[in-house]
Amino acid sequence: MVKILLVEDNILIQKTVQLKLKKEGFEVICCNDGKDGLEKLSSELPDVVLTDMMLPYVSGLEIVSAVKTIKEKEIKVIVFSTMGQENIIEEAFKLGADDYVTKPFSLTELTIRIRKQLK
Amino acid sequence: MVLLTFSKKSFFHFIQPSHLYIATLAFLAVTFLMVLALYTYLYIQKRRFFRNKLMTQALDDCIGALLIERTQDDLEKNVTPQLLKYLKKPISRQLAIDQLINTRKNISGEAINNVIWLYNYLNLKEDSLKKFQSNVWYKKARGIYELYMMNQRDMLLKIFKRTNSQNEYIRMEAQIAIIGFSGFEGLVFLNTLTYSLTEWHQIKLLEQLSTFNQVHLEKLPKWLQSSNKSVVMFALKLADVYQQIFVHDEVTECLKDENEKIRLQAIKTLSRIAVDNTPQILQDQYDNEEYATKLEILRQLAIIGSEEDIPFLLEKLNESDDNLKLEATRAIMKCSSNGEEIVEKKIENDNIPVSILKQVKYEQVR
Repeated sequence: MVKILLVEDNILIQKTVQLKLKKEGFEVICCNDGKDGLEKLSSELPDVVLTDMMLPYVSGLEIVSAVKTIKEKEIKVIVFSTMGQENIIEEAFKLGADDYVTKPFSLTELTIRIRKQLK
Repeated sequence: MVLLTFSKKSFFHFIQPSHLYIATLAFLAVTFLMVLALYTYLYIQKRRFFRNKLMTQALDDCIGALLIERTQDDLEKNVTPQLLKYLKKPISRQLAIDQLINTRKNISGEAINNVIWLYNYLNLKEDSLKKFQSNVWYKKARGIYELYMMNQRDMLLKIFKRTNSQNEYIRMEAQIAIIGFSGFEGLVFLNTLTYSLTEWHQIKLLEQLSTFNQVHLEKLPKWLQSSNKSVVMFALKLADVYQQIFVHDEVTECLKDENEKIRLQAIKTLSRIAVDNTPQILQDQYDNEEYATKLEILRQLAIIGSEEDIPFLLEKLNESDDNLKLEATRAIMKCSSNGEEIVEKKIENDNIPVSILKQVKYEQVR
């Protein structure tokens, strides 16, 4: 089963995305902050990481950079952004992000983007 | 000194040792009451915090599950009795509305219909309506915001009436809501607006409009001739952002406005919707203008100008102000492929400081 690490501090969004992705047949591991996200990243070695950019303790950019230092397997990263964060998205792509979705995002669109990355 | 001796004497005359016991007891009683009040307050706050936490969890579970459902039956199944129990208290109902708005801001697509369904199903609209009908400005503004975020289109007309409210915040919330409901058509409130649109408000309206597909703004000429100067300013920005070339003549008329900010914006807008004679219009305007507007004309000529504008720009190198010379040099360098040579020649003939050209060349290299 494809393992997804979801790092999002907005609990409601986290739960919604988690339920949707579970329904789509993915295994989802959730984290509320960047620090927890980094720990789970090295212990769980997910296939895809979904991360918000603004997180407590450790930023989304640091997570993207940490993902790309992992040598054991190729991990895809999709970042969540909000309107007006173009410079942060640009930075995330420089660090190795594979795709992004802008809030408000559609759950269907998110699923499509994950599947596209897994191909 | 006499007064001090007298007050000491009279003080100790009335205070007896037995009074010390009474004072101690009173002090203890007051301290006890204060600790008790503090403890009660903290206890209430703690209870409220945990109740809100439980409520938020129940609501998050419910909304999360609802957003991925497709049928009416599935939707109803996810509204738990526990959630309904929580929602009997007004504070919990407000929390529910806040969470639904939070979802609306973060999720789009089909799932939003489920959020609105839940808002209606839980009868939360009543709470928003109460706020909307309140006479307190911030409650009314909040009510408008909630009704708009929850897409209550039946309230459109009532909200529209508030777009010219004398309260700035109600007015702003209502205008944003109307655009949220109707897109560019919602701008019809500009026809009757008598109050001013602040700079911040104009930015918010443009931001709100950016989420809609652009349409032909047929009322734009009317807004550009409005007696409300802030409406004229906003209309100029609309013409600029959405490049409404058909109002070129009306924008040119705005150059005659006595308000310098309007003239400044009109120059920027003309540059964005420029036609063949726009550089000549800006040149004709130059001599009637104030310093900041002159600078803006030169900046815009750098964008829309051509070889034909070089004689005008060369004249401006004789201006006494260095910033005007600098802008004119920048414009010449952009308008002509051999702009550098033209400026060098002018510098030699008219004894103009060579540092102006050096500055522009340095900017180009950088």
